[in-house]
Amino acid sequence: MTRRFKPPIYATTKQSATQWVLNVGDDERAVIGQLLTELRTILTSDSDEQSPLIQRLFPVAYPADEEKEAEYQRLMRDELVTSRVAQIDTVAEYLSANEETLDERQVVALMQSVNAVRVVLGTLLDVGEEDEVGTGQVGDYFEAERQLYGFLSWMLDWIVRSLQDT
Amino acid sequence: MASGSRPIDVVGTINEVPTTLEPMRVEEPRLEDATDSSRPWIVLVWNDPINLMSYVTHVFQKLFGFSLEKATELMLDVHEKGRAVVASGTREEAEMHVFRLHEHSLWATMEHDT
Repeated sequence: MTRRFKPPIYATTKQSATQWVLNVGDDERAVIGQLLTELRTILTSDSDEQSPLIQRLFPVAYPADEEKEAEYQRLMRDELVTSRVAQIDTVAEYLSANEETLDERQVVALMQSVNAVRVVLGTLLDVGEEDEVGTGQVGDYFEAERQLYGFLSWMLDWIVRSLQDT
Repeated sequence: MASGSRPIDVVGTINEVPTTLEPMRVEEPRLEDATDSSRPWIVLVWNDPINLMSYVTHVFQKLFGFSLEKATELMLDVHEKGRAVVASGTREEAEMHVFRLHEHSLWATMEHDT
């Protein structure tokens, strides 16, 4: 007898209200929580502006105009940090409450936060267009990061599918 | 505003209007200023190997209200041509779009439309 596959996250409707079920174990929840804590630290600590991670988290808006770019970063950077930290906090609160279901606001926060961690890991791993990053090789220095990147990519794809289904 | 019953003061009008015999200095607007304020800004999303195609499509739908077909077409432009214009407008509007795309970790920039 085969068991029916249940995605790691899916939408259900109860009395015309949509909610989402996070169908992952305690270990996976703990991993997501830990990665978001690390992302929070990167976002809120004084970081090297030349670091590729920081440059990817805070992209340039005006590549051809230094003056406008400086003004944009001065006005928007703190707002971007605040927005990202708020999303992380939303997910952290959900995880610490140990609840199974999420509302749409929490799912969107999970989606954006999971992708932000993917962006950090992908930059660290120097992901290329054709790379099969999720398949880490034993003995590879970044084996753990590659496995995490693969896991988060799989999660993100299902989060997007669950939102598209509603 | 046109029309009305008031008679036209032909002489007065002619006297007030500069003729070709009357040299005058005309202040030309600086071309750069005029184009900067009137040309719209465009928002570009650039290809990157990290963001999933399904995610980019979803973000386009969510932020700009595009249909799945339109969002997919733009996502494929980003993926295959390296970039796509996803919005245009005033500088403030473009900055807000860029900010929201950055919130979603997409690689977005803005520039004057050519």
